[in-house]
Amino acid sequence: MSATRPAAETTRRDVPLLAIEGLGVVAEATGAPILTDVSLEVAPGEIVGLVGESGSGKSMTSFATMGILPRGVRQTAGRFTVDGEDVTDVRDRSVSSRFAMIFQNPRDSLNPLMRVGDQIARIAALHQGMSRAQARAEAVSMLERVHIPDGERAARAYPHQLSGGMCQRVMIAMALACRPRLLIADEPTTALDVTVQARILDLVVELTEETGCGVLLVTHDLGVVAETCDRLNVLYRGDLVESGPVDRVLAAPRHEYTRYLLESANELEDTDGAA
Amino acid sequence: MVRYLLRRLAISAITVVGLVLVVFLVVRILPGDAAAARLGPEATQDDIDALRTRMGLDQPIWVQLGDYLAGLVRGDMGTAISTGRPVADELLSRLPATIELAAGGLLIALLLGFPLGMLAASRRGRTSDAAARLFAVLGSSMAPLWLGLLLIYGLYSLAGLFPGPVGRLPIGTPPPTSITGLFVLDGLLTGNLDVVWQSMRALALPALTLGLGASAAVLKMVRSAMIATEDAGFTRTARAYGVPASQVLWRDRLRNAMLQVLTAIGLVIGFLLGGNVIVERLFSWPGMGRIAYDALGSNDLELLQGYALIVGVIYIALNFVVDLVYGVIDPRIRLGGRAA
Repeated sequence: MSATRPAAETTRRDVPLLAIEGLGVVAEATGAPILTDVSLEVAPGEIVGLVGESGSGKSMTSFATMGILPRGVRQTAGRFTVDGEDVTDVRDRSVSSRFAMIFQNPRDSLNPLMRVGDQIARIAALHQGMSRAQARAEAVSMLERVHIPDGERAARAYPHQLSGGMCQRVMIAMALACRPRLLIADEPTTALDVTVQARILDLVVELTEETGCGVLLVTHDLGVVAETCDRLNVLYRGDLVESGPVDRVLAAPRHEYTRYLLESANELEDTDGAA
Repeated sequence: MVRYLLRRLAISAITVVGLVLVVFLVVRILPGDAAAARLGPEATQDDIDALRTRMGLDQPIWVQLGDYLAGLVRGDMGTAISTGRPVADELLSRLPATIELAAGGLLIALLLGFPLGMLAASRRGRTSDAAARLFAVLGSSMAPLWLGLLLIYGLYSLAGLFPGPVGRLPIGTPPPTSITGLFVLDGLLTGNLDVVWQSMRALALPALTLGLGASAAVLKMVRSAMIATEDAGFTRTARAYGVPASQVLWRDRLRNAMLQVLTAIGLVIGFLLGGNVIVERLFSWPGMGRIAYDALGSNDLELLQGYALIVGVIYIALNFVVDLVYGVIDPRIRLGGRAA
């Protein structure tokens, strides 16, 4: 199933772009652990899946990686390295390490009062040191790069004038304006129509191949993982319970929870087929 | 935007019509005979009946309403029984004093409420947040009458920092040449800085009395709106991409929070307009609220009716302005639904 993307297999182990080691996150109020000892790696050009049920800590892992843990949640252990260099104490990993992120609800993730072109341009100016005019041109060209037909027109639109799928394309264009080395995609298709889901995923895969950036794809959908990911990490109640190449994990899951996930996914598929 | 504006304008107009009807009906439904009240306890039934006929009170209610509306269209709001002067003159000549006071109160409410609300939101759960919230509870639960008395006692009687409650200017100071009727503004326009200073000092305590209560409402709304934007998706996006914190605060969060805060400001204006009856009385402020208070005492229904109408129209007009500002800030309102 993952045979569509064999290229990354050869490069990935040599230079981990991002390595998370022993990440621990707790809720400050109760001291309850949210993540315990989560470690994973992403190589350039590689798409790494992070799956688990809701509440398993998938999103917290991505927030911690971006350095945007919400209020009341604190990182207590673990380090982040980029190209082998420790960036745990770097405040702004987006700018310094060229990390970008797209979210589950694309429209909510955009400022409703700003034209989408301005929102992308401001990120381009920030990350690439562009002038206002350059950044605006960059925004239009990034919008066209994510296959929005009339970039000029789309740049002038406000988020409420765009569909959910278009908003996610805008978010991807914003990510591209960082010239990202790592893209964290947190449930990027969950809130979208089924028909749009596949197109957004195709776009992510296409841009990964073009730019050579690494992708951490957070999802609860094993079907998505099977189609797009090279490697897979399974998170269960804040613990990383299984990790390995997608083919191997899906064919021979070692952990009970992974087996359970697979079974429920298969059941769903069966009922879909029968209907 | 034009369609939105026309719609808001139409709604405002309908509201004004409703206001006129309600004010008219409430005054008619109230127990008591306006003619009897005007003539006093000595009057004979014949006198009362004669006056009723002259005032049109013996006519059916829709005829009275027709007369009333016809008068309004000509700018005639009836005659104030207590003074014998036209209601419109009585009220409109005092409108600038009321506007000056309400504007002062609004200014204080915004200058206090906004920074404190933002401070409380950014320091949520800490001591300064608790202090700001305590201020909000005190400010919103203290009656203007009581607060005004405290301020007069503390800042005039004890500390002597501000002039006593004797109106817009100290006794003996001539008012500035009237251009707008707002003493502070007229003083500035005519270069009469002494009047500016004196009238600002006289304005301080009544405006503070009105403004402190209103600032509590602004504070609470700014705080909760800013907290809501803290967890919003667009804030998360901006933070994730390393947008500087000050830009996230001013450009993303505050502008979005403004949408809710504007609603609070509309309500605060209502409070400022309604609260002025007591405050103007307390500070001998020669505004509309002051004569409305006197009209209550002298059973002058025509004057009260006119007061309710004018305050209502001002309130509707200001809320139309608030709607306008909504449209300016929010493209979802300005542009309507999907265009692309």
